[in-house]
Amino acid sequence: MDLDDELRRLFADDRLDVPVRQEAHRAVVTRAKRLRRRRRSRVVLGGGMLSVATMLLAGTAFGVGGDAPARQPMAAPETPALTSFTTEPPPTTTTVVPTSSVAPPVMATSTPVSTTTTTATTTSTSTTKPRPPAARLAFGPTAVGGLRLGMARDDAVASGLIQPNLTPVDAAGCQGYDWSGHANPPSHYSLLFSPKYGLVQIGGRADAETPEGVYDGASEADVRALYPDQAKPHVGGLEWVTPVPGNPNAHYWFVFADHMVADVRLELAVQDCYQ
Amino acid sequence: MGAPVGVLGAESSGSWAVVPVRREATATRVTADGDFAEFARTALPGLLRYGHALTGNPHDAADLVQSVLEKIGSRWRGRHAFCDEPLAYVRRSMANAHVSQWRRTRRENLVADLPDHAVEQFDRLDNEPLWQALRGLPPRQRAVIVLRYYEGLSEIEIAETLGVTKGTVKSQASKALTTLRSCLRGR
Repeated sequence: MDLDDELRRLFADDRLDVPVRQEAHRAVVTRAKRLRRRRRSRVVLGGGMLSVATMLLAGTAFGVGGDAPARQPMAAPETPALTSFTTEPPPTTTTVVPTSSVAPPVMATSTPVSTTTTTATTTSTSTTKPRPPAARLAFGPTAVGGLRLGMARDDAVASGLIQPNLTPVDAAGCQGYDWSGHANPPSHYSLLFSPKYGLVQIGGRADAETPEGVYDGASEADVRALYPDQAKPHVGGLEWVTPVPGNPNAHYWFVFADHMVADVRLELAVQDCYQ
Repeated sequence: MGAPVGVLGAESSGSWAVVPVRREATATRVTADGDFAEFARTALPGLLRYGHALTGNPHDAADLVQSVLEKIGSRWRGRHAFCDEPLAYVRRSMANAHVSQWRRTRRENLVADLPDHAVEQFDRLDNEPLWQALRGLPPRQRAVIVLRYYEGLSEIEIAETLGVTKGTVKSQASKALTTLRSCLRGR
């Protein structure tokens, strides 16, 4: 078999075609316009955002709309693919609404906020996506619903909480799992096990909430205020990596979509599955 | 951009100048948006297909195409602004995004007509041994293979596209082909 020919044949195969959604180009244009508006707003209001962030860090008690210029009206909110979880109770025991000793910020409501910061006053109107009323699943500092970072794969599988992903082993030789009953597409792993380090990543839950109070739908300003330290930059640019209070061996990865947290991940700081 | 300069100038010379400048800017913007919409409409089928080859599954393809097109569309000032064909620019951006995007987050799918929750039959190519073997390649190696065999680019062109040396392209291609041969032999 000539591999060159085989590759050319494969890449000419009709089955590579992906059906295009109707009016897809209009949707893309709309999103591009939104992105452009946001970028301009951020440039113009950068100073205002800084002021708001400073006030948040200083403990000023107001809502969470610090980056409101980046937010669109909530009439048509982004729907992260995993929101199908939100109406369902978490898999096991740990359905804890966090009771952290850290005073939680006012995050549950998205009441329009006005501040005395003149540069931000006109834009701090729309804020964090409202917290869904469903029970929250405590994420961290060391475990999620009985699954502990570093635990052996066999023990985690025995819990019945997880099932293998359609591509069960990734390129690095790590094993990818989904939450039971919620199969992800191939290679989209909610949980990842390293043969060497055990369970290295727990994510993929729309009902996740950290003890400090970050959940899916929290804004960039929320995350910045609650976790001011970034552990390391990441090439994706849409992810905020921060140390986990109370667990020096872990990081939180907050994955953003449309400037809101779309996924919370609790991960081992040292692992060998990905960069 | 001409608009800010015109607006700033108008402030010192009288407000009458502001309106024409803004109108012109708005008209340019509308034209550019229309131009981008037409570009996206005609390019989407090919880009999704290319994304499918790059990523290995149609869902990731949709994610990749959407995110790259949105970014490019947000800065679109017309086809004339590109040094070469905009399609080539988009495809290069996709290859780069695929390589750098180690972790993917599923987005709301706007561009591909795919079932959201059907876990069976994700990919009509799943029964192809070579397709499965490709799936096991690291992103950069896969990108090199796709650029070479799907796009038909030379080693130098691939190196320029991915921002690496020609030597890296050679070694990545060699590693990828060795892996593919070994996977196919093992079946």
